[in-house]
Parts: sequence; structure tokens; C-alpha cells
Amino acid sequence: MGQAGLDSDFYFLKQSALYYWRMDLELQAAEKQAFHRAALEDGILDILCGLCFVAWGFLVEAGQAGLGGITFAVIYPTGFAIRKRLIAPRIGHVTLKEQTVRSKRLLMIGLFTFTAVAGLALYLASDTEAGDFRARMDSLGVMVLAFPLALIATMIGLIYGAKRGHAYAVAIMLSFLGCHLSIEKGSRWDEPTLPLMISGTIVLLTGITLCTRFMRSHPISDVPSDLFDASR
Amino acid sequence: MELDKLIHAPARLSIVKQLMVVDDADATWLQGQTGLSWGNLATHVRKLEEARYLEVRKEFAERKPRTVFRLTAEGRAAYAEYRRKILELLE
Repeated sequence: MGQAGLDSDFYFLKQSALYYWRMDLELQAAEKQAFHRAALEDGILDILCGLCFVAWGFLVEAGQAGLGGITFAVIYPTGFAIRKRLIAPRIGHVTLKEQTVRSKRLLMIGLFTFTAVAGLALYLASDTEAGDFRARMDSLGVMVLAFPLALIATMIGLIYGAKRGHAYAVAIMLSFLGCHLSIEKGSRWDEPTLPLMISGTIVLLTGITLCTRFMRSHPISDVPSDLFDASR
Repeated sequence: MELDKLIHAPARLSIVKQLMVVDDADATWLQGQTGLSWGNLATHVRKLEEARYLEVRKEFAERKPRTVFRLTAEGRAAYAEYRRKILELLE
């Protein structure tokens, strides 16, 4: 241990300080974290997506696949109203920057439009004469449904910075592929009912787990009423 | 080169950083993000308010009172300047 040792210690300290300050000053990371806390951390979005998948699976089974859109239209507003009651008192109020929200919203609208148009084009291009959703799925191969769903999940992961979106994409692909390869054609649980329910259940259970953990770690705490009065 | 001591304190730096990335936020959000105690948060917020770096607004949301904080243009400029100086110092 001599001058060299002291120099290396000083270098280490300097680098640590540099790293600390850079990290601490990194606004992008803070912005990402704020968005994550405000929109994703509680798992409510996962629960809603999972519910939609499961409900859609039931509707496909009942021969009413077209009603899937109504399910989304009912579940999402209801879910977000519940979220406001449950989550807002725990995390507090925040107004995210308009440019952050707008860019993410535009990307999501673009993605949904692309997926919907591509899906519709493929659906209309199928050569089956049967009009039934399941019959068309048989002719197209159910993986045609799996790809856009997995694409949406993974893009949500990318755009929103939620890594679990990629895991959901893998789960969707695996459940569709597994069912496609293992389930006998014409059985009661013929595709795409079962893979929708399996992947939906995975997303739903993950959401419930995240939500439970979030509720436990973020109890409602009332702001001491007179605390900020002194600053007025 | 002199750093803005008001922002340089870790607790206040944390408050300012959190407010830099949003338009506004209430006390519950700020407390959760910074991890400060209510007392500490109130003290540091007061200092930043006195320096006109942030403004405090009282409002009602669903009949409940809410204290909302927002960085002023002065506060944002002060943080940007502080950040520039600290990076310059470290490079």
C-alpha cells in the first residue's frame, strides 16, 4: 500500500461520486419511474387486460367472439374508475408532463391501429367460406391471433417501460402454440378459447399479485392537515 | 464556481428532481417518491417556497383538501443551472 494504493482509492472515490451524481441527476430515469408509479406499478392494468382475455375466451366459446369489443368497452372504464378509488389515495395526485403522456398515447394509438388493420386484412383474406370466427381461425391457424396479441404485449412493454409486457408476450405465444400443437381438433376446448383463457389467467394472476403487494406496501396515509399550512 | 446550496441538500435535491419530471404533484405523491418524513418534507418545501423555487396550492378534490406543489420557472432554471455546474465540476 503506497502512493499507488492511495491513488487508486481516490480514483475509486471520484468515480463513485461521479456515478452517484450522474445517477441522481438523471431526470429521464426519474420521469420513467414517476410514470411507472402513476400508471403501472399497481397491477390494475394487468388485471383489466387479464379479465378481457378471459372474457373474450368465454365469448369465443359461446360463439360470440364479436362481442369482445364490448367487453373491452365495459371492463376498462369500470376498472379505471375502481383504480381511481383504490390507488389514487395511496400514491397521491400527480399530473405527468403532457409531452410524456401524449407521446406514449400516440405510440399506443399507432400500434393498435396497425394491429387492428393488419388483423382485419388477414381475417378478410382467409379463404374459408364459413363466416364463423372459430372456423376462420381454423383456416388461418390460430397463431395469426397470437402474433398481434403478443406484439401488443411486447410493444406495451417497450413503450411503457414495463418489462413484464415481454413476459406476457412469451406467455401468449407459448399458450397459443401449446394449445395449437396439443389440442385435438373439434374438441370442446378447441382453439382459440383455451389459449386466450390460459394467457388471460397468467396476466390476471400477475396483476392480482402486483396489486396485493402494492396495497400492502402503500397503505393510505392522511397528510397531517396543518403541516403545510405553515408554509402559506 | 459556487453551487446553489438550497438545491444541493440531498432532501431538497430529491424534491426538486421529482417535481422537475412532472407538472405538479400533491404531498402524498411527493412523500412517497422522496421517502422523506412528513415533517422533513414540510420543512424543505417551506425553504424552497421561500426561495420562490416552488409554489404551493391548496385545492379540493372530491371534497377532500389537497396540497399541490409545482416548480416555478425560477425553480426549474435553478435546477438546470445546478445540474450544469455539477456536471462541469465532475468532468
